[in-house]
Amino acid sequence: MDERTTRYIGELEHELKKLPAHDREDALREIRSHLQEASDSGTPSPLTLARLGSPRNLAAAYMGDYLSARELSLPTRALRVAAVGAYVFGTTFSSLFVVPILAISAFTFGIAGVVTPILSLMRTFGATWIQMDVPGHSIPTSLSFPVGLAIGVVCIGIAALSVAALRLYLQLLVRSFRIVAAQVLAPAMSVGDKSVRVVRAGGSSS
Amino acid sequence: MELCILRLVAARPRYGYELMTILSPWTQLAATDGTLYPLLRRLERSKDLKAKWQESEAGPPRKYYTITSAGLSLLGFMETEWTGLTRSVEQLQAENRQEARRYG
Repeated sequence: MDERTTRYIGELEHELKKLPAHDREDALREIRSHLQEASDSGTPSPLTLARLGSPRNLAAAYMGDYLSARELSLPTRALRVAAVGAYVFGTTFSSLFVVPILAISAFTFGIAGVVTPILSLMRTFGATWIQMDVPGHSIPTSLSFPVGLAIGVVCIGIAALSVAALRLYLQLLVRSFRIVAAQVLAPAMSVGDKSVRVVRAGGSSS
Repeated sequence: MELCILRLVAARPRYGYELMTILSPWTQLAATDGTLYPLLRRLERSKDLKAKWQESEAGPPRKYYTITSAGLSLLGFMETEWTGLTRSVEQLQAENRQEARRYG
């Protein structure tokens, strides 16, 4: 075996260090056997190594399979499911407050934003039953509409912000649930190849 | 590629290097040595293939793969799928040609 090949095997061994020792040894043995066969049949070693791809890529192809969930130990799986449960519970609980508060805020300020300018306009034209006071002194009738309008704009602004915040909150929530479901829960709950087998059995019997 | 490997191994026990020399002329299969071995390992782990190391008279020990009953049922399933796929592609092409003739 030439120096490049030895270095290749060394790097591959390093990249495969996360595999169980027995599987790693077996994989390395098979690759070594392959390299030997190739050199016996006269293939130049740089070509053989190029065909195998970089040690990192080859190792990644091996590992891809091992990283799937059925390799996770039972406690890890249980822990993951528990973490997801806690997350779902926590977010649901926080939604109990966040969603109504934002919704009520949007509703109330929205109404106030429309009603205040209307009432202030009525006051300008002599509806004396409408009171517009700042603590201390009353606002002159001539100013009531501009002040009412300003308050209305501020209220509409707050209502719009509440709606935007509510939407954002719900979007983020849905997105995070999707990520959790796809990346954590699905592999954590998977039971190896069972589902594939079921499909197969159905497919071949038909 | 998986289908080809299963079919080759179903015929008789094969080892990696042998499979590679059979598959490598067919560039469309995108079979490189770097994909073959991880795939063999996956099939072995899913118990579709069984592997055994054997000394060879000349050269290094070889890891021979044989097909299991699970592997055979997988092969059957994949062949059915494959036949269905090629048939639908052919049918689609035939319809396309007819249409092209009608409007061409």
